[in-house]
Amino acid sequence: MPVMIMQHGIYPRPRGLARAISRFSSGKMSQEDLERVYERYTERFFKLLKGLGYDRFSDGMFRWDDIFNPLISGIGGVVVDGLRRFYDNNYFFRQPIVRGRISYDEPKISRMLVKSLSIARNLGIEPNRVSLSLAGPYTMATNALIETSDYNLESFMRDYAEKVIYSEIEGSLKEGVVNIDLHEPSIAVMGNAKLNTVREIYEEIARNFPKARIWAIMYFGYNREGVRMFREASTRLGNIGYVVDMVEAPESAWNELGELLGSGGIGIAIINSRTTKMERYRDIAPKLFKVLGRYESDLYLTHNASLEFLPEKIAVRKLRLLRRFAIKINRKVQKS
Amino acid sequence: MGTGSWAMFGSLNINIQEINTYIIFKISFVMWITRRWGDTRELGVELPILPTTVIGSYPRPRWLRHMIRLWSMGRVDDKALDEAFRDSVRVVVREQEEAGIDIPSDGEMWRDEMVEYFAERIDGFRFYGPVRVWGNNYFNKPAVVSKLSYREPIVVKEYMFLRSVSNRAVVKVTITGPYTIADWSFNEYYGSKEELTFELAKIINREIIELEKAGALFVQVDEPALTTHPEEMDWAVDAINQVTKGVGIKLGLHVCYSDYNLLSRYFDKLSFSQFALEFANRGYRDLGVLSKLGDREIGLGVVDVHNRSIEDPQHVSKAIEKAMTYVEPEKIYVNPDCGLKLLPREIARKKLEVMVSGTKIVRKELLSKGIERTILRG
Repeated sequence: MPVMIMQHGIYPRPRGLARAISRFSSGKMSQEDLERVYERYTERFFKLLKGLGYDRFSDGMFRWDDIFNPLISGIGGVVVDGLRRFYDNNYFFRQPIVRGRISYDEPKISRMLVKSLSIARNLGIEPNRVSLSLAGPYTMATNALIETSDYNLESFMRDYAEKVIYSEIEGSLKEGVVNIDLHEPSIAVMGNAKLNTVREIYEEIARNFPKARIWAIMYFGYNREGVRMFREASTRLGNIGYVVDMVEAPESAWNELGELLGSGGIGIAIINSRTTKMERYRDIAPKLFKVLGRYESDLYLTHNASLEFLPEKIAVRKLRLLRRFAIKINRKVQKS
Repeated sequence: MGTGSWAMFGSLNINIQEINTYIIFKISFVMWITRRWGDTRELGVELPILPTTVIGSYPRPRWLRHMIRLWSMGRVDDKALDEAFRDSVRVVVREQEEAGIDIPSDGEMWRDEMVEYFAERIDGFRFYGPVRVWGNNYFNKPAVVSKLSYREPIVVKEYMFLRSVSNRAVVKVTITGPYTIADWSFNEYYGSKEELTFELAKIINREIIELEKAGALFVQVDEPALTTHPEEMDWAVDAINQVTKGVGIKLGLHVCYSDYNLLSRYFDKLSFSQFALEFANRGYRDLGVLSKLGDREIGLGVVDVHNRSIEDPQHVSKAIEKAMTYVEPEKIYVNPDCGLKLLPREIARKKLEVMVSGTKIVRKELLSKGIERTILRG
């Protein structure tokens, strides 16, 4: 089975769009004009990904300020607060403060995605190639400040999943979007203490939505236990997939990766979204070939974190580079 | 506005009249009285007790931003823009002095961004384009693509101009530290971030030595990234200390929005006489770390720069009094949490006025105990 290529998460917001947003914020541009700018850049993004032959991708997430916003502004019981550093990056997000039991009246994000899907359809891209992206339960809970006695970390994770994620998946499935990307950098960064709860929540989501494919996108490091946990979950339930950050993993992780592959989809992140340095095929290919022979199901090559940590010019180069790697690998696999 | 825009403004024209104050100052500089005080030394300049200062940046006047826009469209020439920059420094220094600030800065008028500005002036960097920092805010994150080298003095001319326009005995020059430049850059050339940081430390050290030769008395090294990667702290501290080698003037270290418990474990290892820290934003929660300062001073952050509501003088005086339960008043400087540039100019000025008023309340109490002055220490 040929390897496929995946883009996920937030793509660098182009400066032209950033300028339009600033103009809109200061009352110098109408909502209609801003919408046209969003559409123009979303269309450009889809054309790029389609042209490069990406098998699945986000809609660029141009309306997002970070992985939590604007989602959290639509969650009752949550207040959007001050800036907080996003893990160890020179990148900040508005922190969610949980002040009471949460509520979620409508699937805000999947409705937002509808606009992008109409652009995708016009370009001949089917909705099943476009993913819905959300902060995963663990990442949301560990980055929120829980100020209410209604929740502890685990009960908040469960409630966020049941109220917000479920609602968004329902909304997405109605539009034909099956790939649900749940961003989970906290799995690599925060350690193993809550992994059992995380596993239970993901399995519950997957059971409740058999038509959806639930992806845990892990980055900013490699957590062997986290990968093992998703392998087991994906073996039990075929609709769980996971992305493993092999860029920030120790070399030894490549030796065990073959054993950590489940029967669901897997994304192997080989492109570093936090450096402008270009990866070399000769460094990566030998490691990948050790793994490829062991895997029968959907295998994607991808980048680790969102590409927004890069200047747009470099993000494009890296997307092209990943495509070239995939072509070379598939040729070599075919020959052998 | 395009990147690399100010690299061409390397030549500030300072006329002779403007540097009169500087010359007088230079004489007093030569007449330093150097006396040891623990690991620090007195530099022979007297200051009022609880000297008030800024962290560095100040909002650019609207007309300067307008001029920059016109320049980027090619509608004004370099000379006109240069004049606007110099005028803006005169204005913001005067505003600080009118607010009662004892140690002003030039408001970092010439700088768009704290890492970008230095990367534009050090050989070996290149820029691929902007990267988002938060919301709709970007910076031109530089990439290190070849061996770094010191091209020419980076902020010495800025210092000279500031010195020429300020009436105060001491002014502050700010420099972004090597660890933060390394952490906020892409590294394509050096084998490790550690290697890159030490290379940058040599360059920053050379710049500080140039500033000292030019007469600067107080340089603040800005290292907001310092505690971001706790596992790197040991070597990061060694690298930051490299910038102080062979330097005899006062050196402060500014670290903000960071883990101060972690930082405080390194207070005695860092070769700086002052730590300028942000406390108002965190509701003074970590003031206990001041008990670990030893013989170092604190630059106490008493106004929140990311909040437009203006503190009252009592808020400031109480904060200083709290700090005085840990540190002698002679070792306290009073400053905002961080640079003021993201605030509207009027609010920035009012915050400084309130800061000075609050400081005066405590000074009055200290005066009754006969404590009136402190000495600039390096």
